Amino acid sequence: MFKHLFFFELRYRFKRVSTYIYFGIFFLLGFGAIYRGSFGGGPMKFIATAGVGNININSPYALYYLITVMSHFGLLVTIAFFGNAAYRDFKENTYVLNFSYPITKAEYLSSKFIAAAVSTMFVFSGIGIGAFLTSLSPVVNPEKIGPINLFAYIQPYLTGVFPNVLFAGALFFTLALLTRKFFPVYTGMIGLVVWFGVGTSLARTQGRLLASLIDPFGQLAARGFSDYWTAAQKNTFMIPLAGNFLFNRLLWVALAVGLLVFVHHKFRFSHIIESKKQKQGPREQKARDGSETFSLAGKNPKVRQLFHFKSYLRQMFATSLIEFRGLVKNVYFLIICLLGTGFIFLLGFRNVGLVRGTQTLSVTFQVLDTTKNTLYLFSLIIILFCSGELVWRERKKRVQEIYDVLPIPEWVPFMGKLGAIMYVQVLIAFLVFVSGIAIQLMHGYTHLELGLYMQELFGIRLVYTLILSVVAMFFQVIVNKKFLGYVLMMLFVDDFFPSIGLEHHLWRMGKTPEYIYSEMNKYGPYLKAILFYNLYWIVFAVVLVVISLLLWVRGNDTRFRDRIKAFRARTTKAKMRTATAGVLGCLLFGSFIIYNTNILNTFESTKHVEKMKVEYEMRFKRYESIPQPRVTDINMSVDIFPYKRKLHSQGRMVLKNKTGLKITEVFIQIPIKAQIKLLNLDVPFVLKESAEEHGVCIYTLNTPLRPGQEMVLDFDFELSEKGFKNNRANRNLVKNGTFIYLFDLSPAISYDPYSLSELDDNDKRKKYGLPPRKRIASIDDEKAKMNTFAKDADWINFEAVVSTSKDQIALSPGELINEWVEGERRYFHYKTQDKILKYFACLSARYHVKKDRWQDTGIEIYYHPGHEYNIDMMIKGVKKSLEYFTKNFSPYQYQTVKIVEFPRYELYAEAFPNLIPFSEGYGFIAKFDDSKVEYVFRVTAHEVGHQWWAHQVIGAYVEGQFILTETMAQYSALMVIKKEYDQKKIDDYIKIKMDEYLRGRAREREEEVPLIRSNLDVPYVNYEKSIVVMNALQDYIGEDNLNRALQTFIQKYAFQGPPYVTADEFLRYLREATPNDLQYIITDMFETITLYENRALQATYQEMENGKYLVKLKFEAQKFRADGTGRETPIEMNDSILFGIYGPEDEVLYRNKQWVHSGENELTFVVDKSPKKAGIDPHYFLIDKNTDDNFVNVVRSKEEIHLDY
Amino acid sequence: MELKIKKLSKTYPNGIQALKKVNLNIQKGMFGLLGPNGAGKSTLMRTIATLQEADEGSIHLNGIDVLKDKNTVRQILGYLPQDFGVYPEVTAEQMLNHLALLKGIADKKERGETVKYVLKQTNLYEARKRKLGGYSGGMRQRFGIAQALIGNPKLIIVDEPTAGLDPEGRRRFHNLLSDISENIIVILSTHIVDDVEQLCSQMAIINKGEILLTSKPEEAIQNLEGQVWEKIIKKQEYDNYRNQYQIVLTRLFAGDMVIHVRSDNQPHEFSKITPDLEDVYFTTIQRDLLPTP
Repeated sequence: MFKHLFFFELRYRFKRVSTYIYFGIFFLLGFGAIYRGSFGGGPMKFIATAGVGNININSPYALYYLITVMSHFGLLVTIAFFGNAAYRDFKENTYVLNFSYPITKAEYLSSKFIAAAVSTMFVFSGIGIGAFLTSLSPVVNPEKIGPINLFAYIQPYLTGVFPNVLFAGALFFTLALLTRKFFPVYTGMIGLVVWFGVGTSLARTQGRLLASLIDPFGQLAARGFSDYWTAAQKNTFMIPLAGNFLFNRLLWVALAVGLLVFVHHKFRFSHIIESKKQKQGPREQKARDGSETFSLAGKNPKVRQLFHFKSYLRQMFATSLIEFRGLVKNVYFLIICLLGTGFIFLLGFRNVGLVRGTQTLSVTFQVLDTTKNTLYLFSLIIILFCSGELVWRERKKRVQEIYDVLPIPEWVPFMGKLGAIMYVQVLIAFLVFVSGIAIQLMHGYTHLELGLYMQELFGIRLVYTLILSVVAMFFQVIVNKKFLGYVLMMLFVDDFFPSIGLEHHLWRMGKTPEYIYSEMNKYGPYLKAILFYNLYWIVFAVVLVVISLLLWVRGNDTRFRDRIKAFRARTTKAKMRTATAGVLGCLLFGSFIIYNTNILNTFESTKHVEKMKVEYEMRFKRYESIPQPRVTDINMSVDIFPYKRKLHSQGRMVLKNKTGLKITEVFIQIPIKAQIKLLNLDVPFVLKESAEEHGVCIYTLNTPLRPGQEMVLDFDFELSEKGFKNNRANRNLVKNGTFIYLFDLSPAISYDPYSLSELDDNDKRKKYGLPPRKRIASIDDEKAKMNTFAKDADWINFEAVVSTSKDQIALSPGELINEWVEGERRYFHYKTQDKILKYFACLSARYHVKKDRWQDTGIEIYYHPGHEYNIDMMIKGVKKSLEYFTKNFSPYQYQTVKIVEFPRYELYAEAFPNLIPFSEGYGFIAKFDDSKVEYVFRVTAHEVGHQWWAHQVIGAYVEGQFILTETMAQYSALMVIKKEYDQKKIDDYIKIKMDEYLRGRAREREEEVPLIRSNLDVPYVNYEKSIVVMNALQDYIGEDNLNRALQTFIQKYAFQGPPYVTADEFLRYLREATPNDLQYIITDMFETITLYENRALQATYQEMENGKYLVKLKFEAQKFRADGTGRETPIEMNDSILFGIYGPEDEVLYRNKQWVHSGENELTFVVDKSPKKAGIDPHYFLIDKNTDDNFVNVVRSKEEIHLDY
Repeated sequence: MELKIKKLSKTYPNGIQALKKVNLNIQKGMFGLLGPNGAGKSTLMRTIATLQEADEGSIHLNGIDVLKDKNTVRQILGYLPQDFGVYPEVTAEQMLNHLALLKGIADKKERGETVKYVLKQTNLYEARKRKLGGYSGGMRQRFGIAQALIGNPKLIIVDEPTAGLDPEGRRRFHNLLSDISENIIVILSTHIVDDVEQLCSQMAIINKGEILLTSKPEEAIQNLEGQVWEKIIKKQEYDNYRNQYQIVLTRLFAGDMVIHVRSDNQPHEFSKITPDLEDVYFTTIQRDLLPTP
């Protein structure tokens, strides 16, 4: 019997075209991911960073995530198959007859369940098969295809997809069977997604074990393995079925089995028969008793029937209300809403504006921002399901023949249903609004901006959901298959068009360009774009509505041919007019958008940008080697017109020939969009070549500039922002919060091979026939040593008069020597006393200022009124930094430290000479968190540190340059925070940085380098590894000893000219300060990539006769060297490692270094008090692949411990 | 009031020809469309009710082209589908009220009166506040009739209306239909001969998509007068008789079998009976079923 039922089910599924369409879709997804991925495009970059750099597109790692992530998208198929398998019998009573046969419950349930599982797995197999065949085929880029390992395509199904299908399937199956409804299945799916979200959110803050267990898909547990995998490891390792991942799989499969046992226990065949029986309930008897005959009394009362627009409109509203009521009366729908808002609330509550693990204050836009993606996903799913449920509602309940003959036009039900979906969206917006307010109040934040809530939730986002709703309804109507409609909607709605190269937002179904709200600048540069895109999408939606109406299924002819016939018959003048108006509207708004994005601005598609870079390089690379003069003085006046979004810059630069050769040509780089009024040398010249689109101008001097000779470059240009762009709005020149870098303020000289103007992705360079590009010049490149990161200047004299609107303050590096108002303009005159690096910027906004002093140094904080929260923390940071740095390094070279807020378009802080722009979202609204190292304080110290480590000592722009800037700024900040925070917080902080370093190197595409060879593209080395290493170094060789070495180094190299110092020289100073037996740590930490795997295994203690305690610690130590791709080789060690024994209150009982060999070891210690915890490397000095196992609890020994000494 | 159907044909994608050049003229009053299951009744009903397209032919209702001007037809149409469901969570009154609104009755008071009227007519008034999910099969059927009556329809199409009703319910329903059919067209499709016999002033018999007979019931019976004969036989004898006579219908009676045969002359041992509509029906159908000798 089982066989019969099973094949019956299977046949049912495999007779349907949709099954093959799903398979086809997944096959294509598999194909697309591998095909496009092998050329560095498509979704694989995001799913698994594969196909770029060293990670093969078909590496076991990439395949695992490709196949499992795609199958999450396929949850809709799981729902369709399992939900329907369980639900179909209630709907159609197809099996009622079968129940007279001797079927057991187990046969009935298992046949359905297994058939659904087989069908679902069949559909999902499309991804793997697609991926496999594509990997073998000649269409892919063979360089990104590693050795083909068939099992790597199968394994993700065994450990990932299949258990997931089992659990999700069991859940949906149970819900449909026990409730006899379909809607609960949706609830189940959303529950699952929310549950997953909770897991992800927990993973960020809680222990990894918990997070990896509660994730029903096993993704977090799998990531637990692969997060630290380097490229080499990703290419060879498979996610092992072990550890947390194994527990996770066992747990969820067990839960699936549990659910099935439960449903077997609860389910009765009578469930199905009952649902049929209902039709002949006992109530009929009673009703019949009510009266004798059909009452013939009375004539049908005369009524007026109105058939005009106004009454249709009324019918539409009535329909929408009824449909809405139908939805919200559904308890499962309410559960969905509660789950969704609950999740949004939880997320908002815990993660407001999370930056590096610290929340921001619950400022309204941060709360809204935090909920944005979740709300979007949640709205999308609800829209999806509502569209399916509502479009199919009549047919599901078999009342369509009653409705279809009603004298109403098609738009009444269509718009009515759309309206119902919109009411739901308004309801959700309202729930989010309430939760947002609740979050703010619970966080003790009372500055509620109701207007902003309205604009965001009931304005911008509601329009988007409206368009999504129309699109969802459109797909349901057009495809006329519920689940296929869902799948197509999910495919098309988001990133489909960009993934095939159509990047313009005009393609992106309802999307407006991403925008960032700033309290300083409100919606600022985005507002116009949002407005016009919304208008465009609304008229687009109108067209979709008309098409949907024409194809709306009414009556019994559902074949597409019949519907096309109906389409023609229904085409009325009114509809034609509406559609025409819609199309014209699309053209109108579309043209206006294109005018803005492509004519007023440049439409920068990925391709376009690549081509421009290639062209730039091909055309101008030859100028790289010609001798160029260097800037020695800049004197300029910058007029910022913030409200006109315009800038006028004029000035003069002194250029000097510092080479030994004659200079005949000058390569000048100017802002690309600038309107140049003047670009003149004070010596005779002719224009040799200019390329406006690249901002390049090359002059030939009539008389060559001889070595040592100077000339003056006068410049005068205007920059202005016009219209809006497709993607990133230009947000440098804005109404409040202008922040402009030097390259938009003044010309630069010479071709810069390391600027962003060259294409840097080596895969792409190859495609364009360009030679591979080094990330940075070699340390042996003598020519490169003549430059810092400024390629056209050494230390310069800098003077600027910056003017802005009267109500704003304008800033630039240097000391303010004069300030005045002239008409509606306010002028600020800045000048540096000593020479500075050629690195400056201008800022302007309506600032408030807080001033303070440390000894003779002024401290000034320029902030947006209302953002006073962390100013004192910043001032404290500046003071503590100045104190430590002046004592241990050298004097501070300027008279003031200025910290200036800029809008949260970017989240960072940066150090210019005595000027530190600090992002609104990064520091100014950060929430003070006492439990950990405060990042506002730390970042302040880091940026002040740069005033020494960049603005006093600067290295040549060759490999290792960053050791003298970022590594040392990190060290500086570390020493300041170490004085402020207790050891525990520092340990936690270092542990996090270690984790970030290990994750960072795992994402490396090309080559990880040791610190001494660092470059701009390895931030995880420059920041995270640096702080871990410096923390170790200062402990191993001693803080004072290290600082003395740094002091000597600064004395020798501060403000030095070319050739600039390199990392090798710096390392020589460090080596000198390091004792002989510790020289190896310099090699390990700076010159190589060295990792440890240190683990405490077991610790026991025993009381001794003298009242002391004898502790025995078993541990394992291993040391590895890794190459640039992450291939690891174990090496022998005899290293000094710190050990710690701690008492019940975490007090230190023992802390000392011991020399340790690799392998399993045992050490004994004598301590004064009863020990609780023992650990190897307790402060995380060494780069350890797993820092979670460094400690063990000390237990009382069962056997005698023998002292070894 | 006149409904003219001309050369209406419909073939389904699976090749089944549901309607073959159907011609019908239907006047005011009750019109019965009689035929076995799968004869094309519902296809015809749905086509008239604007739910389905025809491949060729035309339908005109008082000058309205039904196949083209669907919405005008819908404004005067009441339709009871053969098979329909309900929204279980809504009460009969709410549902009817909403349908009345959708039928264009904008005035709240008028709507209330109409709903009350149809509820009373179908004897659902007492149960109007009950959710439709709790309705029995018979009550649902009556609810279906109630919704078809809303808004003074000029054309009422009821497809197999008595299918779910018990004999009492059927009787009441017949009364109601004959009551409202005075001034309008009511088309009743059924496979139950009694329904037509008791109610209809005109009728047609359809099978395999073809109209086999159009007539007034009494005329059809008259035409068969003297051609139907009856005999009680043993079941075992059935095969013998089948070979000899054109059997119109068989019925079991106290364990034996009653057979009606059609013959111009009185066959041996058969007694004469007055034919009824059932004899007409089966004779007509059989003419179609049996190979004509």
